Amino acid sequence: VKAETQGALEADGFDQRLAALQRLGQATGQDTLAEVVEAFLARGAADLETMHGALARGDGEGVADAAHALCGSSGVLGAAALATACAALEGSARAGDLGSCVARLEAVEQEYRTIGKRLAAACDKR
Amino acid sequence: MEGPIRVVVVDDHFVVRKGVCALVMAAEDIAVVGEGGDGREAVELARRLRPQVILMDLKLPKLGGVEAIQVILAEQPEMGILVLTAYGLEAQILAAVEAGALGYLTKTAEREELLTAIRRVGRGELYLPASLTRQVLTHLHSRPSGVPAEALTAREEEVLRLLTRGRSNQKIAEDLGISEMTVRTHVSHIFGKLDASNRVQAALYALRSGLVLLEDV
Repeated sequence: VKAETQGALEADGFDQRLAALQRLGQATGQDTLAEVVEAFLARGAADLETMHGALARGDGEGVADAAHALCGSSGVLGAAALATACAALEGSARAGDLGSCVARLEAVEQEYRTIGKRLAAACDKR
Repeated sequence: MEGPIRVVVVDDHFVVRKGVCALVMAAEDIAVVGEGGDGREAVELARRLRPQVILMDLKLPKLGGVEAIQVILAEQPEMGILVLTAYGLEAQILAAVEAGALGYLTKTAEREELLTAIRRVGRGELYLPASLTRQVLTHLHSRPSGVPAEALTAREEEVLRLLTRGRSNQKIAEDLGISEMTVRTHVSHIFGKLDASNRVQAALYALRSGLVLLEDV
């Protein structure tokens, strides 16, 4: 890896954390990165479905709980923009401001798609 | 402390458990010795593995995080609980601290912050981000103060003042010009006299009794 590319990677918590997961897998003899990516995408998709369903029912707490779950997993993965979008959605949903939740949920989905592509690319690159 | 800090990670989300394991793996002084997915497992792992630190979420199935903390600390008051959660849930975080959790961190925390928090809680010290400390203390300050079974000495009061301000044993020792071992002895006596299980409860006594003003924290 060229020095400038390495520098860019080090500045990116997301790539650093994926690398750490890969090292964990190497140390334990498991494909931890692939397992984590699969789990993140599966549960993330379920969380998004839950958010949509809850929003359609006007269930702010349901939206907030699912956003909270996705916020946590994306935060640990270093997906800061997705975590921030989820936190904003959770805040609005818990405050009962369901009107602003529609746009915030769109922002979450957009960030989730971006992260999904980066995760797939990271797995392909190995 | 001999050997690495033994840590158990409890979160119902596989991604979070593995993510935390990956973040601490390279730290030679920290070892993840167990993982659990719900509050009951947290209690069981605490009994079986007796870790120094339990890193746990608050939204857990079967038994909630706050309830699990209460059970664990009732059985092993010396155990360090570090809450790791997403944003929000202030009420639950306050309840966790009141139950005796020594630290709180968001899941978006940087790796170094996570390691620092584990090390501090592993030493029995508080780790609360400054942004939360005032909120926690304001919430808990309003409760009535208890009366200690035995009066604190002047030196113990000095130690308690510094402890309430979040100073580690090492820093207290430096401030007072005494050894860290002596500070530990004072802290142990303070806990005994106040019937406190941990530094949070001791700090709360200091605030409720007026020994330390909230503005000074």
